[in-house]
Amino acid sequence: MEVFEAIRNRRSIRRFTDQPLPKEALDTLLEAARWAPCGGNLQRWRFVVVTSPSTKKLMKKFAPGIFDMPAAFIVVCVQIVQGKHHRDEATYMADCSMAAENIMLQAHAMGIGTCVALSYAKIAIRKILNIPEDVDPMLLITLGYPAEAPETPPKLTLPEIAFSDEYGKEWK
Amino acid sequence: MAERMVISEENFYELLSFMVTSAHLSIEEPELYGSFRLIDGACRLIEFALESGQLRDEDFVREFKEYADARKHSMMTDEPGYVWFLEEATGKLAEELKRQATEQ
Repeated sequence: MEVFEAIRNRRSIRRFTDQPLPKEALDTLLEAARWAPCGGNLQRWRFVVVTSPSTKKLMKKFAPGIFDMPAAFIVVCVQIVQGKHHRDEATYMADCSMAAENIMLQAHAMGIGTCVALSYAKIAIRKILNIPEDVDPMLLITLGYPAEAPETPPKLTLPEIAFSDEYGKEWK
Repeated sequence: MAERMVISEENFYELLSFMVTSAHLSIEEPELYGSFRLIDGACRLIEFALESGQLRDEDFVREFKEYADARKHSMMTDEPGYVWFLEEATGKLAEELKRQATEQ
C-alpha cells in the first residue's frame, strides 16, 4: 500500500470482530513504532501490549470512550527522565503520538483497524498494568480486525489550514 | 412497573466504573463529552435492564436504545443535530412515562 493511500484511507475503527491478532502482526506494529522519529533520539517510549481477555475487560471498564472490545490494546507510555535529558510533557506527547501514528498506518496497511483513546483513567490503567511511577501512560490504542467501515468525516480544506510564507496569507 | 429490579453484580461494577471514571474525566475533557457520557451511560443502563429480563414492557426501552445508539455519536460530527437529538430523546421519554402514569 502506498504511504499516501494509507494516510488518506485510514479511519478510526471502534467496532471490531472477535478475530485475534497474530503475534507476528503485533511484532510488526511494534517495529513500526520503534522506527518513529523522536526528540533527541531519546526513545523514552515504552509499549504495553495487552491481549489477555481478563485484563482487557478490566481496562475497558475505565475507558468510557471505548465502545467495543478490541483484540488488543497497545498502551503507549513514556519513561520520564530527570536531569539534563528531561523533556516537558508536550515533547513526550509528540514522541508518543508519532509512534502511535506509525502503528496506526502500518496496521491499516495490514487490514487491522485502530483507534486512539484519550478518555481513560490514567490512575486505573497504571494500577491494572502495574506501571511504575516514573512511567506515564500517554495514549491507548485499540486494535482489531474492523467490523465497520466508517464514512469519511468532514475535513477542513487546505486553504483553511495552510498558509504561504506568513500566517494568514493564502496558500496557492 | 416492576417494584424491584436487580442487575447482575458484574453489570453493577461495569456501570459503577463507567460513571466514576466519566466523572473524573469530565473535569478536563471537552464540555460536550460530559453530556455524551450521560447518554452513553443511559444506553448501557438500558442494556443491563434488558439483560435482567425484569422489565414489564421491553419494547419502548429497546426501541429507545436503538434510537439513541444510532444518534449519540453525532456529538462528534454534528453538534446542532446532537443537541436536537437530546431534546427529542427527553421528549420521547417524557411521553412514555406520561403514558405509563396514565395507564396505572
